[in-house]
Amino acid sequence: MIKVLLDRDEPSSEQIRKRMDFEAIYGGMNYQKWIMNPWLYVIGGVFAALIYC
Amino acid sequence: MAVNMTYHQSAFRLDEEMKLVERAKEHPRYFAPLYERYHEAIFRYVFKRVDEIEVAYDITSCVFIKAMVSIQKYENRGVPFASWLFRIAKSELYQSFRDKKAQRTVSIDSVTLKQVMDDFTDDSSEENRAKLLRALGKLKEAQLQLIEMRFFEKRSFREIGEILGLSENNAKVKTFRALLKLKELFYQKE
Repeated sequence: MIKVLLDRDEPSSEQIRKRMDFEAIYGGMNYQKWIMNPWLYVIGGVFAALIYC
Repeated sequence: MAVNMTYHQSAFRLDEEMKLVERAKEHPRYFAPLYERYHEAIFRYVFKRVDEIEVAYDITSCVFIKAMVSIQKYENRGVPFASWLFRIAKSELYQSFRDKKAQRTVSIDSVTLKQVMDDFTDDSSEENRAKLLRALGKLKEAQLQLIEMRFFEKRSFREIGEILGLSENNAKVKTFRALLKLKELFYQKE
């Protein structure tokens, strides 16, 4: 179902700029890269194996 | 029809942009100038298609995180870097619709609605306006996208083609067909 919005208020450029800070995006990207790192799971697996053995 | 000129760039500007892209490939911190250049356009593209502003901010953030993570895969094919970002935005949007995190929305202003309606009828009564809005809601997604980009966002056929992965001519033909379909739905008896 599509919603049609007529004459909707849009945020100003200033509001968008304040809300969308590059540093926050950069931090988000580093976190994303960190959780996508396969070594994280290898090391996690090794630790889990050591704990259960 | 006046088209959005910010997208069309000179060869010099495209070259300069490619230098920024190459630098961003060296380190994600250098993505900042590209981010400053395009984050507002991408946000507005997303905002017009979702019903909640917070969702639009979240999706836009995801678009740039994805772009920064996968910038190494970006290849220069002579089209502005923006079209690559818009493609990511399009795919993030549809993922959000599939995950039901966002509701598909069409944002339109009364002036543009009247301009589109003038193509169909001289009578821009409240009843016809409601009829056109209902007809828009009945369009298939691919057709709606073309109508949105061409008539509501005033994009050129070249830009539409680059965002949707079509040739300029194909974008023109498909937009014309989408407009015919909208007209057909407008005159369809309920």
